[in-house]
This record gives sequence, C-alpha cells and structure tokens, in this order.
Amino acid sequence: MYKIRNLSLSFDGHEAVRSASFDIPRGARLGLVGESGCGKSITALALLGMAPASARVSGSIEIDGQEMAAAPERLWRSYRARKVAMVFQEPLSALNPLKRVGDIIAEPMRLHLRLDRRAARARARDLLVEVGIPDPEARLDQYPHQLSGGQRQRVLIAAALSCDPQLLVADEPTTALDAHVAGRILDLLKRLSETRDMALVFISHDLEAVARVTEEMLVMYGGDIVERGPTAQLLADPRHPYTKGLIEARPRLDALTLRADGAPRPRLASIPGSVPALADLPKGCRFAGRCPIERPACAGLRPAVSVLGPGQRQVRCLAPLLPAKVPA
Amino acid sequence: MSVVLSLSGVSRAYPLPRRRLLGPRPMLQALSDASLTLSAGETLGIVGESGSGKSTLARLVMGFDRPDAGRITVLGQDINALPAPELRRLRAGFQMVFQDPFGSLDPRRPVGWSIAEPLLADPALDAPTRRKRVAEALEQVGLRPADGAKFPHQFSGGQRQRVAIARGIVTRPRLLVADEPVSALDVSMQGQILNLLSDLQAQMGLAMLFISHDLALVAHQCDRVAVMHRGRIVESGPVAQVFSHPRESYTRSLLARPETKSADNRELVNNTP
Repeated sequence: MYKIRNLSLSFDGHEAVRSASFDIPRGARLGLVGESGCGKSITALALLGMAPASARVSGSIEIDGQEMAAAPERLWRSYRARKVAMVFQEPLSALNPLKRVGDIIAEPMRLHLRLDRRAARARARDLLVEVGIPDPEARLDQYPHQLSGGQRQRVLIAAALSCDPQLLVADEPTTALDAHVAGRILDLLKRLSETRDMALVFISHDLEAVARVTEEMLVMYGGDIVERGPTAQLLADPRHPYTKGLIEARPRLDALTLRADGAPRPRLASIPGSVPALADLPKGCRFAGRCPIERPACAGLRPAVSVLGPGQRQVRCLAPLLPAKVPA
Repeated sequence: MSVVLSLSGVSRAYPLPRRRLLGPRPMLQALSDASLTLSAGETLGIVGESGSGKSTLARLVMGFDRPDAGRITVLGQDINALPAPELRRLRAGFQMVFQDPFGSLDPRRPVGWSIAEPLLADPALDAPTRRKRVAEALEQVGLRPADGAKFPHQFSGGQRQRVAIARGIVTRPRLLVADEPVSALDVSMQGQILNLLSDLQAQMGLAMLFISHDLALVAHQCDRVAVMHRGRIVESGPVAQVFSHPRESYTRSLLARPETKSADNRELVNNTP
C-alpha cells in the first residue's frame, strides 16, 4: 500500500537519502537499520510528510495509489493519524506534560474522527487495555509524569493507534528504556501489528531488537539502502561489508562460554573511522574509505543494486560478500 | 596483585520529596551495605538496571558524595577520612570517564584545556610539563597532539569519547571509573573505544570499574562482575561463572532472553512495568 520510488532528500545540495525505493505491503513489519546520520529517521519522517522544510524532496511516495511526495500539507494532515502514525523515541518529550493521559489519546480521535468527548474517552480506555496498561480507568486521569517509562511509551503507542492507522512508524521506541521493559514494548509492537494487520516500520540501530520484531529489513548507510532482505537471512548471512561489520561489532553474550576464566580478552571487531559528515560522503559507494574490501573504483562509482537469489535479497555493492558457509 | 579499590559495608540513602507538606521525608536507600575489591590490571563490571545504584556507587567511589556508613579505600587511603588537600593529591590516582563526552567537555574551550584540567590539582607540574602530558595522552588514545587545539564540536562522537578518555588518563591514574563509556556511541564505534580501554589497561596496569546496563559489553570487557538490584550487590564473581551459572534469580531474569509470546496478552497486562 506504500510504494516509495527513487525517494531522495537533500540539504544544501547534499543528499541525505539517495533514491530509496521500497514497498510497505499491508501488515508487513519492516526494519530500518543504521547508525546515526544514515538517513533512517528522515526517511521515516518523509513517510509521514514531515520531512524538515529545509529538505528538498524528490521521487515518489505513493499511498494506496495516491501520489503524496509533493502533496500539500492539508492532504497530509488528513492522512496522518488515519493512514499513518508515529511513535517517537523519547516518550516524556513526545507527551504533553500538562495534559491528562485520556486527553492525549482522545485528541486525535476528536480531531480526525470527530468523536464526542464521551465516545473518545471510552475508546481511549479500550486502547489502554489493548496496549497492556493495568487499571486504565484510573490512568486516563493521570499525567505523564505519574507513569513509569514503559507505561509512557505504551500511552504514546495508544495515542498513535487511536485512529486505526494502516502503518505505524516507530523510531527507536525503546532506547530510553531498561532492557526487559524494552523487550516487552517490542513484543507489544509486534503483537499489535499482527492483530490489527497493521504495517510497522521499525527504526533502530539495535540488531537484536530488529530481529525480534521484523520480518524484513533495510540496512542504510550514508543515505543509501545498502542491503535488504528477510531479517533472519540477512543477519545470518550478510552480503554487504557494512552489514557484516555492524553485526560483528556487537559482542555476543553467548560467546562468553567459549572464553575460559583468565583467558585473554579477544579484540572486538570494529569498523575503522567514523561516519563522515553529509558534505564529506564519497560520491560513489558511501562506505568507501571505511570498507575492508574496497576496490579502487568504489569511491567514485555508485554501485548498482544486485539481486541475490530469487529476488528477495538485494545488495548495493560492487563486490558483494560470498554466502556464508552455514546451512540456513 | 595489589588492591586499588575496596568498599566495605558502604550505604547511602537520599531523601525523597515529602508526600505531604508537614509529613516526614521518605528516604531512598540508593546503596545498601556494598562491599567489593578491585586490583590493579583488573576490570570489574557493575551491571543493573536504571535506579539499581550503579551511578551512586560511582559517585561515592569518586568522592563526589559521602557514604552514610562504611569505608571506601582508594590506593590504601580512606577517601572520606582524608583532609581536603591530601584528597586533592590522591585525586590524580583515580579518574572517571563519563557516558556523554559532550556533557563532560567544556564546549567553549579547546579540548587540550579540558584534558589538562585534572593536572592543575598537582602544583608540582608546570605549564610545559602539563602540555607534554596532554600531548602524550592524546597520542595514547589515538589522536594527534595538534588535536588539543580543537573544540569539542569539531570531533565526531567516537573521537570525543577518545578525548574524554585522554582526560581520564592524563594524570596516569591507577583506577579508572567508566560509567557507560560507549552507550552514547554508534555500534560501529563501540568496538574501537572498548579496544582502546583494553590497550590502555594493559599498558598502564589500570584497575577499571566498568559500569553498564549492557550485559554483552560487560561479558566482553570485564574479568569480574557485580550485579546490582535495588541498591544491593546481589551477586558477584568471575564473569564467566556469574553469567553462565547465575545463582540469583534476579541475575537470571536479567540474562533471560524471553521468547516472544505474541499471543500472550495476559502476561503483558499483569506484569506491566
């Protein structure tokens, strides 16, 4: 239902997103993975028509057949909440501290669905139940500061769900939370996507979280989608050197059993250098300069997308890695 | 191996806001009866969730705050019994690296100034010696001495954390307290910084207190680990032992990777955090 074609976003002539193309089918769960500055958050904002005014947007964003890339704000406003809604990273700054939880959740329904106060409140109560908040009746009259971090994030999700969106965009929804609370929120997002047949775009730098929630993932670096495919396959068998570097950069808890007491600490893999500023990104492959398997042509030539296997996996690299020697 | 840091029976409580105007102030026991030792060349991980007392422990070890009870000994000296001038001299021996280098470096001064600041506590060091030590520290963390003239915003996140580490080691300390030293960094940078900490530790024989909520990082980086829960150290020991055979149910719950029970709505409702 979402069709994105050659979407580019540039600031002062520098492309922060370079001709991204992907689909978001109904009910799909898509991970958008990358580090800060890779273009994932701005891509997500563009999906809601909320790219910053200073960004030049080109390409096509089609929602249910309607071309929206150049659509006026008036049209976007009627789409937001009903077609697409967003959950932000930091619930305390996304929730109005002066409003009661019930009013925060009811506001979009009053505005977009024209519900009266009583009906909106009843729906808000149901939504709190749906996102797993105990004693919803009492919570409706509380303020955000009276809730724990996990509960705030649940309230934010409830508000996003209030007008039954077809697509929920969640930008790093758990970074502010403790690990086990974060895990529950991830499970909640996955469950909501399943029970509501709602598409989910899940943005994160955390590969474990992405593996837990999504079916398919896009890896972004320097504004390019460098690799995409089914999440499990891509994590088990990365073909882009950046994806591989990202996976290997995280120490694994289960590797611990291999290290005997007193044995020397192994070196952690890391990607050399750091992400260049937008203006300093190489013109060709964005990963040139940090890539371990770089060829002379890479910095000047933007690699085309190669399709691996039966069309599900794609990688943007001149010399993609060979398949890992592990049975799938 | 020589003991660099020891805590015995350390407790600290903080008053919370009054519930009613004239009511008693409730107390939060941020740290209860904590005991540990740390030797030269060793890394001790402190794990726990937010609010478990990790940062209170770090503040007390650094002498930023005083315990209500118990003794904290750094390099054989009880830091809360020392007169201020002597604590100042001892200060060169234990330094801290903070989570957010942007918050711990003065944005309006070149980083060389910030790195040199801990050296000012030692009046025996003159300006040329300080400059030399700053240049050495920058090289130790993989930057160039000329980088000392730059300002914090001119560095990338990973480089800024290198600057913060340079500031932490410029006094040639014996103990380094690192509070979430890589959690503000991108994943691809974390390895560089952790490897750097390992190298510095090997070169300088540093004892390191490594505070993190990230168990995988602690498993990688630390020799021993102490698990904190509600202000108490509930379990401690060699990392491999604690993480592969946790004795405490709390440790097990931290380590647990709960299977996704997407249909199990009831469990979510009852255990909502």
